[in-house]
Amino acid sequence: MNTDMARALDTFLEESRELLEQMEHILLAAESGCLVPDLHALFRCAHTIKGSAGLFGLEGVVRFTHGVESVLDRLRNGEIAFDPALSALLLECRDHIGALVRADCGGNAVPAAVGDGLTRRLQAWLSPAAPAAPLRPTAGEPVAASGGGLLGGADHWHLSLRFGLDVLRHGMDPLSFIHYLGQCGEIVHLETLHEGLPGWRDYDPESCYLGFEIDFKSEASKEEIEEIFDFVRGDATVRILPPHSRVVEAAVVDAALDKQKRGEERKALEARSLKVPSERLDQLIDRVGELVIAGAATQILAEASRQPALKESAANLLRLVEDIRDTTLKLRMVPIGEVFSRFPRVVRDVARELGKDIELKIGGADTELDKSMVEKIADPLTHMVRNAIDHGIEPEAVRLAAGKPGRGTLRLDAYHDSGGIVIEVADDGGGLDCGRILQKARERGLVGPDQHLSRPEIFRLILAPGFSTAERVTNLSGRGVGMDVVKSSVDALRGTLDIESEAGRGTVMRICLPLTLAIIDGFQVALGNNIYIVPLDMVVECIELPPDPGAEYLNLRDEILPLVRLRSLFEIEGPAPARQNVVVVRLGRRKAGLVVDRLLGEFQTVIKPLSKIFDRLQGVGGSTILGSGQVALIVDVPALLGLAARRAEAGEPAG
Amino acid sequence: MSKTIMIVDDSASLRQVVSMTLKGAGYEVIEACDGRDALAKLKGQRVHLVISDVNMPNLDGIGFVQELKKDPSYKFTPVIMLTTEAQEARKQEGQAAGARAWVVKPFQPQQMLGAVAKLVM
Amino acid sequence: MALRILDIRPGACLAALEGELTVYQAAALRGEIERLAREHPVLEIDLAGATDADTAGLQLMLMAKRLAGATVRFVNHSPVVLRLLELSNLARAIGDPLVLLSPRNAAATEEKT
Repeated sequence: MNTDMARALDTFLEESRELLEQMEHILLAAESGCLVPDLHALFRCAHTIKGSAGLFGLEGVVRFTHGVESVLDRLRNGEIAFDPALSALLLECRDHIGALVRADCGGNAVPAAVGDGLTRRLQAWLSPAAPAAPLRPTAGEPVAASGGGLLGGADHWHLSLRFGLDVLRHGMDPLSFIHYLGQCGEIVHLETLHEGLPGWRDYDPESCYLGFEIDFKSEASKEEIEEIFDFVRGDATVRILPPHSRVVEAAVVDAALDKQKRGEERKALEARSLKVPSERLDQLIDRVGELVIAGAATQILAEASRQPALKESAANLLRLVEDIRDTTLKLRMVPIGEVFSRFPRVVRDVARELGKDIELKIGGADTELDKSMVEKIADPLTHMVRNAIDHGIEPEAVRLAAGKPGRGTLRLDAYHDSGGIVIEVADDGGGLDCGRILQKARERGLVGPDQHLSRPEIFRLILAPGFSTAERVTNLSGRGVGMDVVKSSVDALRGTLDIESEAGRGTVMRICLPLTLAIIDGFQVALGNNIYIVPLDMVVECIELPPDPGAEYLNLRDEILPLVRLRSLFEIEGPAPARQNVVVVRLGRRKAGLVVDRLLGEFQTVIKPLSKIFDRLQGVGGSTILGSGQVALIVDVPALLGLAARRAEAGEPAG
Repeated sequence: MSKTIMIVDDSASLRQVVSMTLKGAGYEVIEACDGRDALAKLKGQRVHLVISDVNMPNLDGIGFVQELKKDPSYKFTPVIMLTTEAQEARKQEGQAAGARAWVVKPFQPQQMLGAVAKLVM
Repeated sequence: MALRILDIRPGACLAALEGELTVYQAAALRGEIERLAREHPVLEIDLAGATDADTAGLQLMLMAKRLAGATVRFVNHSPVVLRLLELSNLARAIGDPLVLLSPRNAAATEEKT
């Protein structure tokens, strides 16, 4: 395959992925019954995929999609109606199309039997005996509709044509276009509007005063119909209403036209955005990182030079660099809704499989975070959601017996908090059973028979590898994989995972992640001669350490904070200074005090990935080069908070 | 009464294909190899549509359409101009001269028939 | 002359259209219809000879029907005119009795054009 073709195929892959996503959206909307599904869009999705697949000779995709398209066509024409069986079948078909496309583009082959089975099931909806139900209520339909008049019948296009005065002078004959239209489909009804004709005195026989309202039945797409009037684009107003648009009164027509226009505007807006390969973006961010360091170095030199003009110029430069940094980082930010949008389907499928009735509530879908995080958080979140449905939410009978509504609720939420993003998966199920977790942990030897654990510690046990309390193994979870995978994924993103649970009321799993992995503002601290950097957005305040050597806790305005002594953690040699300081850090709901020698102040920091040597260095999340050329290590606050929490619960000294 | 269409293009093979296609669909066809040839062959006879290339020797498509539109017999005669993708500027000129319909080369014979059918009943 | 006068009776004029009922003749026809209608309260126009018709011609028929102080009638519509009236669904608006195209005639018309 030549490169042009390969590139086109890439475009097709991307395009079909988007179309399949759209199909899923529409089908889920149809199934929930809360929205009127856009059946034409649904048809178009399948139609477009089939058409493009044909261009690439993907016969399997074309053959299978053709059957789906036929059913969707009957659906949009109102010959058949949605019911749960049909929408479920169409969802399966949609998945199969995706699998076929991937298979043809180098993915795993799909067993032919799957497609054959689906095609057979689709046949039931293609036979003429299939139940034809009216798609929409007919109440309030205009009287004209019953006579097959202009504004009634729903299964055809409606065209409004208004020709400009000069169209005839330009050599165009409106009726010739209408004649041609009649060859591209069936003109069900046509009304020539001649109210625009002037009085005899003002009548110019070479001007056109006519308009036409046409009901048009055709397989053609809107684009194809629009194309018919291409030549008179400057000489006519052409409005096209798709079939099933309820044209009841002028206001509705206008609304529909507006909507059509808005859709076009949105299209135009989309066309104004660019697709950029993410590695190019990463290169840019890397360079901006270097730029920030170079800028900081320049400023240090300028400060030392004692030349006011140079100092000012360096300060300006740094401010611009900071602007560029912020803008660049924003380029990578995407709404978490990109991930959340997959969950209606996940919840539906899992709930159906388990025979549970579950409502999914999504909040904060527009909360933004780094694109790379979005990609990496999707799988852990899916695990958590499946877990919540499987283990969290009780069967309906149990819920009813407990006086709870039979329908379970699963909540997905995202919000920004203290420089990070918090993602919550909450269910209103039975809550975690401390007793059972402890019993299971003892059976597995994770906890000694006499060992006493606090509630948070017990909850955290479910994050241990291979831990599961499920009494029966289901297809979905309960096979002992899951939460430990979630935990390590969150760790890899320098985030924290907290569990809150109340018996009978439900469980909240809370992931806190830093907003970006690339660049942070840092707060510099010194331990001996070494400089460390604490991410500034996690710093709450700094105080002097009270003179109480060996204290594990700090009483800060009646709040007990665990202390992490970085000197001992990082094995700094030499005596500590007489006076030490505490940097109070927070992520999500966890707080701790980091004990350091000296506070040096704010500094821009770029995180560079640590080399392998540092992999096992606890509490360090990255490194950066200071303006002076010195290397500084970045303190991994989430890891330290985790350490502090574990030690606090275990009653051990922290750090 | 069958309709008469004039095809003006310096490529003989293109004229041939278009002419064949149109005749096959029942139209009368007059062929001309450039603008000057076209004007000479018209001489006031009724033509229902003119299909003209833009780039031609002697008298090019734009000049030809300008002349054509000056003649009262062809004042209202629709013109299809044949262009390539990269001729936006020339399109403006053609528009000013009175051409409203465009077909981009290369085209399929069926495409041409569709364009013709929109303009000639 | 786009209209050829066939017969003049007291109060009425019968004329035949020669050539096209199209934008090329529309201006001339407008003038002649106006003049004849001023002289004769009833103007009957025979369209049997209309070799071609278009939107401009159709407009002219509609306008003629609105002419104040005279009655203009179109008779003997040629196949092209009938086809245009059918396409525009204006037969009723224009209101003259038509000899409808039989399917065979219609097919013949299709072939011819």
